[in-house]
Amino acid sequence: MAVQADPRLVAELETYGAQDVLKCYHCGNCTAVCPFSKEPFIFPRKSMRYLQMGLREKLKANLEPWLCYYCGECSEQCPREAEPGETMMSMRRWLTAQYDFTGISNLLYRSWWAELAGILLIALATGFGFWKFGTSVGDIHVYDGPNAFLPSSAIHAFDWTMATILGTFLLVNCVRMWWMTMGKDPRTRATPGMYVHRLGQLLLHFFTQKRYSECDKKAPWRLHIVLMLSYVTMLVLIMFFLPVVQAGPAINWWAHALGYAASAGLIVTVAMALVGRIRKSQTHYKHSHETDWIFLAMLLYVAVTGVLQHALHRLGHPYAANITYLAHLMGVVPMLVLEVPFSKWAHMCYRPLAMYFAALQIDVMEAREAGAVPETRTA
Amino acid sequence: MDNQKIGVYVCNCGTNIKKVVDCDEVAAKALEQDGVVCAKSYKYMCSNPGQEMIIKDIKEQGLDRVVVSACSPRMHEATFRGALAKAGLNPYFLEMANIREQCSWVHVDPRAATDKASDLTRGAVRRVVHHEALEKRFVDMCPATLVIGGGITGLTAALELAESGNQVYLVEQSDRLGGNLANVDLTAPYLDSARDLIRERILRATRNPNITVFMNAKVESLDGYVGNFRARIAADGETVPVEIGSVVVATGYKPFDASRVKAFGHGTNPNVITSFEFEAMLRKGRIVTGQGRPPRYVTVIHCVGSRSEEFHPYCSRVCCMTALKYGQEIKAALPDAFVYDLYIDMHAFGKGCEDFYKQASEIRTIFMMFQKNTAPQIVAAGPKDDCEMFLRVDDKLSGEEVDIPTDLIVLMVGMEAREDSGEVARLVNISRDKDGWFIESHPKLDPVATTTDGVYIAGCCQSPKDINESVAQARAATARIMAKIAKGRIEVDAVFAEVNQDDCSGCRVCNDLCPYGAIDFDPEAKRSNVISAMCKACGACVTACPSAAIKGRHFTDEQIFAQIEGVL
Amino acid sequence: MSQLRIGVYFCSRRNGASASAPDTRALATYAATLPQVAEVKILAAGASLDPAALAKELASRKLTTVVIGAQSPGYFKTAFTRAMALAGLDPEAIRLASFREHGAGYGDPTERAKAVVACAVLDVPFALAAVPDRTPMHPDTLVIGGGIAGIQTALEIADAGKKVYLVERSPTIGGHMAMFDKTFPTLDCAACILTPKMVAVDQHENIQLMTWSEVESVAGKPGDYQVKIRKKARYVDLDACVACNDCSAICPVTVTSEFDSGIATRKAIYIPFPQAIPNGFVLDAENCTWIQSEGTKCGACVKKCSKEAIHFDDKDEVVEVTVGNIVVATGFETFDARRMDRYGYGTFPNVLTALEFERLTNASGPTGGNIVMKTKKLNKRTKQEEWVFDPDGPRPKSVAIIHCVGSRDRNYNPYCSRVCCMYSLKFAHLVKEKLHDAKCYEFYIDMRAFGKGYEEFFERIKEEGIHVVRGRSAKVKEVGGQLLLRGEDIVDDKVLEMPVDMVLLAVGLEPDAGSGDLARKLGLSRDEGGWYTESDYNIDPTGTHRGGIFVAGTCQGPKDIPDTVAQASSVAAAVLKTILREQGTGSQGDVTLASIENLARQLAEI
Repeated sequence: MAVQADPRLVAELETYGAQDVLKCYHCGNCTAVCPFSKEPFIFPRKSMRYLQMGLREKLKANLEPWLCYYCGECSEQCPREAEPGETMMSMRRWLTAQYDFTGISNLLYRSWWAELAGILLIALATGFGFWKFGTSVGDIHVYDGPNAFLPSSAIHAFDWTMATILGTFLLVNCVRMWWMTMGKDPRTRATPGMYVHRLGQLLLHFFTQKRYSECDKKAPWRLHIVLMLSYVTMLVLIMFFLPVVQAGPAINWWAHALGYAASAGLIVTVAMALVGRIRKSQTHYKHSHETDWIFLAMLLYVAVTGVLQHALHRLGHPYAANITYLAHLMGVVPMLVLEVPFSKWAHMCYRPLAMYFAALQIDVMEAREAGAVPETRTA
Repeated sequence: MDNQKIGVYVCNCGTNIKKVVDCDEVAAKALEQDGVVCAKSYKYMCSNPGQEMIIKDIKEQGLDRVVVSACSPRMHEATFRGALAKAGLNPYFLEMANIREQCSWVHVDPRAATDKASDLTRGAVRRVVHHEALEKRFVDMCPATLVIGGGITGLTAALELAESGNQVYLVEQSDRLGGNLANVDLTAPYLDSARDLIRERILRATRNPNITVFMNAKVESLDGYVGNFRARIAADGETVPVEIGSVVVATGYKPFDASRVKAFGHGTNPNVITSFEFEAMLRKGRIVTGQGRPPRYVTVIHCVGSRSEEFHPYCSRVCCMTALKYGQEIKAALPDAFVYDLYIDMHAFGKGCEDFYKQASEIRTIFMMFQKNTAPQIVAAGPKDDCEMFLRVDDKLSGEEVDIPTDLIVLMVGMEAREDSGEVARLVNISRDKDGWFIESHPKLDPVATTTDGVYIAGCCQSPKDINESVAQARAATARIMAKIAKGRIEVDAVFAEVNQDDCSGCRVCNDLCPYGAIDFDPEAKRSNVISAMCKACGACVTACPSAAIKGRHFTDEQIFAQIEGVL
Repeated sequence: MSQLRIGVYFCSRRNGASASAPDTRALATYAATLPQVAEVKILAAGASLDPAALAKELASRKLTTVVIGAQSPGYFKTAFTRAMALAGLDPEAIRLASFREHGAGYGDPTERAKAVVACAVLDVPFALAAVPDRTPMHPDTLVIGGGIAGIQTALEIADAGKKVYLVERSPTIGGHMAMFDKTFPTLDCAACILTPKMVAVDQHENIQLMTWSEVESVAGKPGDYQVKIRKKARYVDLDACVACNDCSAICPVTVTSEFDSGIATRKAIYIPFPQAIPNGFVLDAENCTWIQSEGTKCGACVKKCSKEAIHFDDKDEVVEVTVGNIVVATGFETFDARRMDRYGYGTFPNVLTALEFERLTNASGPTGGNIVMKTKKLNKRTKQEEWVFDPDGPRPKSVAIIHCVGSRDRNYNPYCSRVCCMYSLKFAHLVKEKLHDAKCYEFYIDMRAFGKGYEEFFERIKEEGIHVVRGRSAKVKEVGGQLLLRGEDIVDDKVLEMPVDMVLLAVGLEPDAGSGDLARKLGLSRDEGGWYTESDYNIDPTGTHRGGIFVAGTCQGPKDIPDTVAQASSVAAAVLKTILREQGTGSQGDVTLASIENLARQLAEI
């Protein structure tokens, strides 16, 4: 059954960063050089074609953009400067917007004023809220212990509420991703058994980004894994051990050591990424979408303020520490709220999910060839 | 005849002959022949040392006949005749035995091949004995030229000759000069103005005193031979006889009739037009659908009538770039319109063309590849759709069957030979290939000459061509003509048929038989005569003459029979 | 003639001035002074025009006619045409002032552009007004380059009884065509159709052949050029040499043969190939022991030569000739496949370039036309293992041909090399013909079979069982001595990982290395690809802006043999034209604005 072409899709994707897709004349070079391009997932050329032709539904159901780690080989060798790597990146942004049911993501990606405004708004709200709260429960000159300005217990509680809300958003988006890529098309419906059997994939790829490490270039993966692990460590510390990390006066090395390491990791890697993007040092740094800048900038801000407030507290400047802490929170909250379910951060879930689904789709295919899944469902 | 001294030279042609034929043996065998005083085998007879060898032997051993067993005479006969001439021997005392094309290249068994080579050589030896000294002859060269066709090719040919100071008769069948190019607005890939280009040619031609232009005219008859043709040109009711030395045929092409491709329904569907109809729209600045509104989606389809089993097997060479040009022009005229370009293979081979192709992508032309011998299918649009129709394409690149929205379809019609090309071919006595294009005398090294001396072909009547390629051919043709004019006379081969007036019964059997119209009949004397300058020495008349009155010089009966005996 | 209101609009596609870009402001002021000009406007660079808005403007200014001035005004014309139609004006009343087309490159671009605008405003075809002065004419002609283009031009002119000097850099004429085995699509053997012409050149009384020679300098003016030609020391007296090969046989120095494109060797004293013209030997001084040792070592060939044809005291000699016309036919060289490391050329022995394969499959080549794989062999002299073609070596069971190597690629040469598709198909045919059960694959992007009989040849190839794969293969690896090729079949939507025994790279064409240097000597311009720029793409593909200097064949852009020959002959026509009327034409670059404007005004009156 024929699908309808939509010539407007190209223009739509341009706002997500795909500027050159129409330059592709299909020599197949990119697909051939890509180490990940194996049947049944042959990319990036074919995904580029879906976009050129404006096959919206095909593109939505397409896992391939997530299977690409943007090593840049394809873009470097492209005879037509069609930037396949950047096109795949833009498709990931676009897909993030498609998975998101609120439409916020779409807004953030397409208008960067909206994103700035959002950040500012949430930051002010957070600042105002915590100020009111802090001054009502405690004293700005006290950092921890009784009468503290921002008691860890309260922050802890706040973190969990926020985590629950954001988590729900993200979860819904992940479910939508599942529906678009797995559920909708009967040909890609896997059995529960398969889902259980492949679950390992999900965790493996989440924690190790094994696939990324298989790129011909290793450096980008190293940076990415350090960044991501530091990020997760920090998250775990904050979500579960906030009292220990924040409270003092005694240093609690088993928690703090981790904390320091993670913060260092964060700052260094983020700084490196920023410098890379400014210098356009590598192919995957050549084209930077506004959201890339904001993501990195906020990450850096949060890490720095975090470290600073901790240091000030340690050095015995509770007042300054509290102010920085407030500033820190004014960065953390908007970053998490915007990035986690609606923007770049979400790829932390989408990527491993995509690997997981891809593995499942292969299972389904093999099963069908083996005749385990009745043909009627494929009709 | 016994006192003749024959030299036999067997060429190894590197390995071409030697790898199958034992050349030394062939030479040795030849030496046994009576009359043969020397027989040698050498790696390349055609090379200078090879020729030197012959010349030396002629001078030192006083050879008066030479046999070269090598490649086809078509290849090197001239070379060796030259060698004989250098040595002061009449060039026609040479005979070649073809032991390459007719032996080493087609046989695998060395023994048999070697024997055959020896037989062929023996035949040549026996034949050469009967060779006579023939003298080259010359005819005058009339500097005037007849150019048939007033398109860009014909105009250019006419101008070159006229500007070199020679008379040109330019015959144009229609009522205006410029041909198909006159209907074109811009040219690919630089979007230069075709109008200015053709206008410049026409102004030059019409103002040049050396050019006589015949409009609405037709060449009624052409007879005579190279350097001395007589043509009758019919124009405005009267017939003008002209004397010319050469003829340039530049009759061009005719656009393919798109209605022959049923799938597109050209002629019935108002939104399906040909490239030429679209060109007219562009010139008028009114690009509209059959419903009279500017199209939102324009689809350009390549290779209509070209590269197809059903219609023409060949590529029409210019349509691809023209299609890209339309992309540019549509985007300029209708900035918001979407352009789809459906191609099989994008032939962007010319200078600047690949870049032009990239530009088309940059201005957002959407390219789609379809398969040879398949046609995209037109599907009706629903009431909600914002387009007149859909084109259903099996898009291999995405592996999907895709419906693309379309308001206007432009068919890139190819070129085909004109209906009257057969007539023209008969008129000037040249041949056509299976597609109706005129055949050049050599596809690579002689693309403008024909089998008839003094008649040249240029431009799209030979095969589809771009402007610059047509122009180059037009000039190439004039180069040959200018060379002859510069010399003032033309050498005619000494080999031709002769009618023995005493034996001729005047039965006129030969007259219609001659493929070159080289025989005319003298009503008074009731005798036929061969016009030697036109005779190609094919021998048709010689064999046909019931009273054996016609003798083919250099192909006399005794020569032929001697050769046959020799071979047997 | 009725009063017009002409609007002159200056447009440009991208901002940022190039060397040949005229000063638009100066142009605008100039245009305003021309008759009937009612409006002059400079439109923003790179802006896409809105016909509707334009229409309003044209109507409001009550214009009847529009002149578009730009490097390539055609890009804006259709917008104006529509605007005219929308405004109810005559859509045909648009005139183009194309600076690029009419040589804004020569002389002062602004002055030239002014002239172009003047002609457009006066509606006089530029070529009719920009007429260079007629010059006195020397009847002799110099042809630079002895390939098929040079040979053809020389013969055409010489046949008219006119003198030609044919200068060739290498020891023999024949060029690349002499190296080829067969020619597409007719498959007749290249040497068989070329050598008769070479012989003809050698024997022609009107052609003075100078091989092993190079153009040193060019002085003078159109119709009367003084050219200094350096005849390099050949060390062999051609009149004495009978090409007996004794010298070569005894010469101890072995180097790779240029004619066999490096797949075979030659001696330091050698003849490029048996039918070479002139048919004499040449001594390669860089590699000759005797020369290098200044007469202290070797010298075997001198002792051997019975004709005493070898003279070590031979010196370069510079001769000066005076000619009226110069024809440049310096041809091409092939893309260096080493630049694309992903195909492993130079690393993997059985990855070959097109020219190497031409020699390999050539009956007179080192393997006698046997298509074999390179094998390791011990070189007795150097005591080292070398990869060589052994005539009885193993035959490849599978051959892959990769198109567009170095062509159609922004990272290398963006242009299409025009001949690769067809010669690749020819290779496929030769492989099938000689190795019946070998598999053969063509990896291509677009199959550009555009010439007479080409498309039919493509069909024939497919019937012969060659696998044509759409998609330019991207990588060649070697795993355990086995070549492994990775590519995408974009039509069948597959990624192919196939083992092959031999890979042929359809390398593209590049201008001859010396063409830049020669361009400077002759004052010719070249495009970004390095090809000589013709004076007019459509109507004068072989002329240059320098009077009496012409370009023919592949030095002007990639071309196949028929197109090259047609061009070569057409150059001959241009030359003969000047000789017949005994007047040369001056350089376009020398035509002044004043003279163009005056002539244009005169012509406009009529």
